[in-house]
Amino acid sequence: MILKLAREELRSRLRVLAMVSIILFPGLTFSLAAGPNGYRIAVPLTVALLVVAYNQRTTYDDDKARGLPFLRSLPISPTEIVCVKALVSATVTIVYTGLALIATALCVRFIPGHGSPDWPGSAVAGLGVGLLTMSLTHAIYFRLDAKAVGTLGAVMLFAAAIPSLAVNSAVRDAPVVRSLLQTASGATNWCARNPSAVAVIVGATAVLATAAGWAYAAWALSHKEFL
Amino acid sequence: MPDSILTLDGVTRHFPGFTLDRISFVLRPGSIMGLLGPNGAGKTTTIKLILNLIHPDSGSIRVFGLDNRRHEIEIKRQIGYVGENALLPPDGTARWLGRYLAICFPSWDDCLYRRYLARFEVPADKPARALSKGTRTKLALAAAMAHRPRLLILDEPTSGLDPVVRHEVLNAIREVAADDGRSVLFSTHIVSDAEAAADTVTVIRDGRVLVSEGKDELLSRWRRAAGESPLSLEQIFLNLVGGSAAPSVEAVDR
Repeated sequence: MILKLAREELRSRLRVLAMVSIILFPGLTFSLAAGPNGYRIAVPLTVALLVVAYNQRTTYDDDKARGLPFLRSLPISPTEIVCVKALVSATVTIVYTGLALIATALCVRFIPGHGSPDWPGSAVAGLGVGLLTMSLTHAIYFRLDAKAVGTLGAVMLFAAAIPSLAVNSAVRDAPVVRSLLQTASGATNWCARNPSAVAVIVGATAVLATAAGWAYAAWALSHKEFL
Repeated sequence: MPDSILTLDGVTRHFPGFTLDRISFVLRPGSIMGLLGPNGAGKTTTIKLILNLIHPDSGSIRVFGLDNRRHEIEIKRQIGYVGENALLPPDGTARWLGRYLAICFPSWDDCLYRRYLARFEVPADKPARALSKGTRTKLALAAAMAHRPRLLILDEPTSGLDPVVRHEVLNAIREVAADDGRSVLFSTHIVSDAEAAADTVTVIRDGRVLVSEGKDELLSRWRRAAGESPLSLEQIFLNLVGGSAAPSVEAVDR
């Protein structure tokens, strides 16, 4: 039943899935602007943007049409609903990662000079970022509402912008920031010396966080009241 | 077959500024109950409690003789529900909805669903967001009836509809009850709809049940008190909720 429901839900999301794909281009533009090795981060950055936009649109649509009360009025348990959402999210993430890989490959060919991506690493990072974002978004949506998902997206963008703005301004000379940058540089060096340990730590954390996000989503939905 | 399809016994739920206070009523098999009340009386909250979309602070709700929280899935398989704003996914077409619900309901009858769509003139391939409110309500009704539910629950199904669509919806409600002892609970603030379709009336105001009994008994009791004058259900309703000068509630109770 879960597989069949996921297939039908995916069918009803095809329009949004296609519409959001337009964000591939700004995603790639951002990564090219990031510096001489922009292609290294192109896939995960693009997938993150695509997934965030997809989630914003689908949760907004769901909220407007009261999609969750509709689902909860049907003979489906909250756990089954979350399993359906997780399957759909995984499929959407795979599709967007594939699109991001193809678009990056085309860019590498036609716009050289921004380094070369580590293809397997980019694919894994894209999938990881996408799946983690999906699970956290659903956890927030099921616990709160679509507005909270939108607010969180804006806060995350703002939070991500702060370090890059700080590094490129006079603030970087402040002792606290210099100390932070030194620590970051040390961590980067350690990561470069221990790539397999880093891969295990990051991978395990991402898997655990994704699983915890979906488990929390199931708990939140089963306790949610539709006033 | 149990002697009640739905029993609410002392159901209470507190909200800031509003309390649904010890709601009790019984819906018999084959009966159509109109849940009447002014806006904000607690009709939608009562329906959400029955569907376990909200949880009560105290009291019990039994559907088909089963506890509505412990046997939620089993109960929902036998319930058809149309929400206040005919909840449907915005990109879902009638055809898509039929496929989706066929997965959820083991007793789904696709031929019946298509018959309802044809009868209500609902286009099969137009997304829900492109449908008018009336057509969306008819689609939701067709979807709610196509698995032949033992209990159909409708929240303000005729609100905001034109007279033609209202007539179609009320006819469909009557047909469901005429079919093999199925029961219907529909909330409304349009008294004429309850008068036209319901055989049992529950009036609710400020979160309290004022009266719950057969429509004919209610009418004859009030008519006796009013000296056999031709009182309508609307006059009785207005009197109960405090908006008219027909016989007082106390006079009828005596």
